[in-house]
Amino acid sequence: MTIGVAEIAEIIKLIDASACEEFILELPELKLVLRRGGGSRETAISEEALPAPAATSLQAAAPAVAPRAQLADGQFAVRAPMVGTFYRRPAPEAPPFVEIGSKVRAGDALCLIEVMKLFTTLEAEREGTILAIDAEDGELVESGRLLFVLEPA
Amino acid sequence: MTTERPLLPAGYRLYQFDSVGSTNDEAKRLAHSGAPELSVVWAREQTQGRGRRGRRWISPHGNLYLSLLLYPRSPPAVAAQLGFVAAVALAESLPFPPETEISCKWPNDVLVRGRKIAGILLESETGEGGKLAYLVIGVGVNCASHPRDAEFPATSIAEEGGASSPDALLERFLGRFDGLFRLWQREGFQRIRALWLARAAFLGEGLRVRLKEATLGGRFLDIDAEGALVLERDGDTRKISAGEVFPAQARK
Repeated sequence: MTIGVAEIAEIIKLIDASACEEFILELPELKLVLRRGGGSRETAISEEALPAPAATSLQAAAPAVAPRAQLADGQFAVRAPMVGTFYRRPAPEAPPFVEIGSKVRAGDALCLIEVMKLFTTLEAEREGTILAIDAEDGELVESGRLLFVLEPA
Repeated sequence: MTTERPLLPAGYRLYQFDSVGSTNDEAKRLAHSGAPELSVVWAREQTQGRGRRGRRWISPHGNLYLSLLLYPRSPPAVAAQLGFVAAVALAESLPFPPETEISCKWPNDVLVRGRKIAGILLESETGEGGKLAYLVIGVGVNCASHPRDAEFPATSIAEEGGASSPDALLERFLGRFDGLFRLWQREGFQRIRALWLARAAFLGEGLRVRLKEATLGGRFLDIDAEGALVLERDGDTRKISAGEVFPAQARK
């Protein structure tokens, strides 16, 4: 059995939608650990280790807030361009702009960041699939904070 | 009925509508079509007027709804200071006698005798390299009418006994905004901050600041050199860059 990034994204989606607190998948070439932290709904993947498609190793137990240095080949990050409050939805009762597994095109809205009542829409700069969402809805984020990890289309 | 076109400061370009969904959305459309800086969208009514976090801004005929399009070259947190520029400009252009209590509520609401008369909503998108592709400053002023059931008590120019023509206010506001905008461009935030602080509502008083998950209490000490609210509690200070402000105790 081979697992690529698309499969991992699918697994994350399923686990995220489930009531599981922790999920561990061990295969000969890969170990995947998904864990909810302290009641939050974040899913953790370590960027360093996320495989490029068809790559073979994954160490994925880093806490969601751990500082992350680099992405796997080909993946790209969307980071906060400013300090502010991160919102996943255009309005509290509206659906999120994107979910894990969402495919986005260049120019699609990913989130809002509010600083002093300036609401800035962050857009995808290029086409891709959301692999991870690293901040909580309503969280105060620092400039440069990792928000999304995407895999190019 | 007024049919004359308003007189705008040099360089401003007016897009006038009888009715639009939202002047901010029109201004964003203009930004995407490459409209120049200082384009102004003005509508007699909005059918989809918005406030903070998608909240409805009821927008019947008789009030002022405008959005200004700018292309600031500064980082987002600095560009957000333009909300203070707009709030001070609006406070200074309302048609009331000088002794009237006109104050600014952090970050950029305008109050008359403690009640909200105007709201300002800034919207932008990131462009190349995390810079802002544009900035839209949306301004809604209750001239003829105001909502009766707002969470923060509201009022209108008419209610407070002022001359409620949106046309005249549009001219005065843009004239004042232009002067303060140039001041901000030339000298930065310092003097805008001083003008804003001179009108700050609840300064030195107890505040509640509502964040998404929690409400913080404390004394409103200051705004910092960037515009963040400085809240003091038990000797500790905390800076707040986003949230909604209410007085610690509801006042009449």
